[in-house]
Amino acid sequence: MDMNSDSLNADVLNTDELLSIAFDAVTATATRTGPSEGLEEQVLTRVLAGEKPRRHPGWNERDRFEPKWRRADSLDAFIKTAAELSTLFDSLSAGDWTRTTRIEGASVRQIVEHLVGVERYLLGCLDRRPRLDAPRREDHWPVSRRAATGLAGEPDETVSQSWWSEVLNLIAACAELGPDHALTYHHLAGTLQGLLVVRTFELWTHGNDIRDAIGRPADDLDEARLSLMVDELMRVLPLGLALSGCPQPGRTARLRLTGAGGGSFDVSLDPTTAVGRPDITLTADVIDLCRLAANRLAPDALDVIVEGDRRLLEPVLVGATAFAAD
Amino acid sequence: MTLRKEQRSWPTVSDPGHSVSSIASIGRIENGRRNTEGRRSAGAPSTDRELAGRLMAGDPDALADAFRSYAGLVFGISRRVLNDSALAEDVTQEVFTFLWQQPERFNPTRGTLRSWLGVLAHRRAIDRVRAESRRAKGESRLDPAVSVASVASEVDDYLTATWLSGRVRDALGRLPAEQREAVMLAYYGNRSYRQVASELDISEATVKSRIRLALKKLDTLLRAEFSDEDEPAWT
Repeated sequence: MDMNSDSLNADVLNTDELLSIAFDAVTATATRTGPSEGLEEQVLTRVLAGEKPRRHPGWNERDRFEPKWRRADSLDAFIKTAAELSTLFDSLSAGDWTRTTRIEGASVRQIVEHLVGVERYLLGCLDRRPRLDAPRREDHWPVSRRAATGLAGEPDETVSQSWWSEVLNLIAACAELGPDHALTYHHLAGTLQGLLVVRTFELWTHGNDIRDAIGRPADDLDEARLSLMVDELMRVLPLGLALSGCPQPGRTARLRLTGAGGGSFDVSLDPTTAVGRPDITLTADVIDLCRLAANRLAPDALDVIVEGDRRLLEPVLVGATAFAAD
Repeated sequence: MTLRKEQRSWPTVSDPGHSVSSIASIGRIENGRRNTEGRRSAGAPSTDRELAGRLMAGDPDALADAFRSYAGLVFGISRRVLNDSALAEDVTQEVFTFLWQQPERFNPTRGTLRSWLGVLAHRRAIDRVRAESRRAKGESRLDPAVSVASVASEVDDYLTATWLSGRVRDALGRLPAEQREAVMLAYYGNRSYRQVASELDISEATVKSRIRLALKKLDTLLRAEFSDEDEPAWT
């Protein structure tokens, strides 16, 4: 519904807008005196020197607060991506929630329930919830569905809120455990630092699944987050070839990824051998390669320029998709 | 190590911009206040949720960002209720300590971080009024109502927001028609002064003038809700 000057009625304003009017009225016209100049330093010093936030049960509340993550880390990327996805969920109409996505015929709502389940599975991996057994990559979808069965019959808004609540729980757990905490995510062993890059990648992918289902344009990540994802993808690509059964010992690929967040990478095509002189050079758009890695773009649909040994093209592309999990 | 990086530079994630609204700077209307993707949503913008996430991660920079964005609002509301700058600063510290300790209590589906912090400031300031009133009367026993309010459940936040917004709705109905239409058009869907001027076929200067007058009148009409003279009607 839209409003124009001919249909003025205070009932069309929501609670937030009404509060905004009130707060502007009482602070802009009545109170001319601002807080003292030293208040910011005083408040921040006292708050940060005080007890650690109570939400972290593992922290000793008598200790001073000391963050373990750096800014611009993968935790920041995850938080930013989750915040954007949460905003997308709040903008969905009732009809949007029932739209079918390209993921296994799942509805938008089922995708969000899946995300709730994944966060719960992860919290289990971090001993913040009962641990769920899901050792294989193929377990990703079914275990998430099981973890979210309690949401059946709940309103769409509750599903969205449940996801945001689990995201906050995961953020708190990650903040407490630190980036170097080791864990196993399905069949992959790694650290929280790497896991949050993977989760950022998955949230971005599912956000675009939903946008596609409801007829909105895809959302491209900013350069910082794309850079994090591409770095991680290049780091694990040799392992991806091995997992896919097509390692190429002694061979090296140069990937020139164009666009913001891209770059040029020399990658060994086998996890047991070092980088050498490039046997093949691939030039492709960085977003396209990310979509390929997420199984959202078929290898034969990738717009790629190949120089060198073309026989290595297929193993590289297969290896790049080795970690995709719907 | 199997990866050799040829040419890379590590970019940084920039802090989200936050701004405190002010009728004087016209910033509230010019700066995006909510997400408008798809439909008009009552939920908070992405930057609010990101800030809540960073607070959840224990990021001290997030607390500083929140303070710089909203301390003026929190202090202004507190001082308006308490009519005392020192007490208002105490309440400001309480509110930001609470935000740091329990950012998960902010529900972005219900509204913006700005509104939630405003409601918290209002409730905490009213608590102070009551505490001071009881002390003046020589009552030593803690009022159970104050204990509950200081715990500040999400239900309390929601009830306070609903009650307060209802009073604003009533007050809007008592404004002169031309002021009411200007302020409502401006706040509905985050319209700019220029858009309101176009809609009403008047100049931007006239829009600003009408909104300024409307807010001044609303300040008077809402005196009981933001005052230490009487206990609020919702108790």
